[in-house]
Amino acid sequence: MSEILKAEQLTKRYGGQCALDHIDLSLERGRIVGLLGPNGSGKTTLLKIAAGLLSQSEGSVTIDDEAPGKNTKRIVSYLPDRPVFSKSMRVNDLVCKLADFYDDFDREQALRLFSEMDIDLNKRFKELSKGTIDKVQIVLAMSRKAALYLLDEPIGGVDPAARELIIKTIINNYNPEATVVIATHLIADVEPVLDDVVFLKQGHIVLHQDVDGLRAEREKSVDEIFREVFSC
Amino acid sequence: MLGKLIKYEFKESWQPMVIVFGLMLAVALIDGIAMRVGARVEAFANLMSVIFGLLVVVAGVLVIVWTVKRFYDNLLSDQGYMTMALPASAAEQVGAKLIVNIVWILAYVAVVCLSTALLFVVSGGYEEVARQGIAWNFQQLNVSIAQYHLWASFWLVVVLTAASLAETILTVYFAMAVGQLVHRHRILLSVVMWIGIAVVEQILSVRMIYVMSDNMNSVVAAANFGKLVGAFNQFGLIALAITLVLGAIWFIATSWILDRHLNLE
Repeated sequence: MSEILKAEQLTKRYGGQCALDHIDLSLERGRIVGLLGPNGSGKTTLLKIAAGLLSQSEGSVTIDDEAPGKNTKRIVSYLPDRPVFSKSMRVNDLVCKLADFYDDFDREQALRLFSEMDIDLNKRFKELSKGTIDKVQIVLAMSRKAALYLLDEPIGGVDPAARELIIKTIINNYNPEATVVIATHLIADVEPVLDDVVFLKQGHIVLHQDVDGLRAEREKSVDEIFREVFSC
Repeated sequence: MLGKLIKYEFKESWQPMVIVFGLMLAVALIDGIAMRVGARVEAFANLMSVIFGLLVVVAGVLVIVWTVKRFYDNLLSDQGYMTMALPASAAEQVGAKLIVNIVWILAYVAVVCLSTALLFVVSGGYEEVARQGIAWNFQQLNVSIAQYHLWASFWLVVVLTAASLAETILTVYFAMAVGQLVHRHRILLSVVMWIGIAVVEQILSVRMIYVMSDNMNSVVAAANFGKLVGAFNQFGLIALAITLVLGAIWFIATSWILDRHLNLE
């Protein structure tokens, strides 16, 4: 099976600081991948490069054999780690906009999820709490039938009950043939749903393995292995 | 995709423009009525005239600030995470912003003309001008326009103004695209870059006007109005060609930077 995302010697420097240091990574289709690492390990940088929002300093990245650009953006659903909408916009405005731009956007699914989460479509973003904005963003990202979902800290800023709801939303609504990359440092919450893990430490990949194999090999949970790898 | 981008650009930018434009027309109308009423409300009419003048300035500033702010906020700050993730090329994104900005600037010019005309007519100023027979001079002007084909010159000036407007907007876009390349002091670099471009362009245009005016002197000396119009048109066409080439360079460079070196940090 061909890879959906491939990075070769991918490097990104911010001034003198190296966020990604010559990493090689290949992700297969149909997998749920945990991109795990502490804050500042390079997770967001990697996702932004793959989403075509940041240019690399060296190396290359391809999505479905193409460099990030107009074509890859058609098949990549990216969830940023922050609110990215004008505060005066209504939720419904955004639903209409995404339905207009993305052929794979499932409006019915989005409306159903908003209804289940009790989110008022006529509310403006400035009227919504941070937790609700996070839910809106995850619903919009998961309402696309994309080939690659890049989810940056989808459960980062919400309470444990909302985390469960968001993970359930991801698992119940993604395109099963797609690859889902979940970047987070909250391992215990996402561990049950992961097929593979990639550990990122100071811009280097220190581990890339399937979760079942890793657990069997080390006889520990991913969360425990993460704590070992990233302990000071 | 360009059409969709333009549609949403209008949808997300119309409110402040329409409010200010509406205010300008309303104040012009009220001022005109107050002027017609005369001495009884003179102080009020004067106040409205001041407000109208201020609104013209404020609306102009708003259009310019909005041009810069929309591009920066929508493409290069947090909103860029959504806008630049849309399946559109950077050229389409830049093109949509440019077209909508030009439309708003032209709308501003149209509203200034319309509100001034409204003020002129409602206040009774037009009737006064007509009574004094100045309308006759317009007829004379029409004869002169036909005789020297001045409509061609007029449209050349209109096209050149629109092209210069677009080129100026594109220099602002280019400066911001360059500014986002660095890790720190992005806005400072954008401002410095834009000032640099403006200074170089100004020096080159002054030089060009100087060279062309040498040629114009001999035409003026010949005291032939037809030749003067011809020389003016030739000068305008050269300026238009240069403006279009410069605009194309800024457009391509901005799109290339946003396509290949986007840095939403």
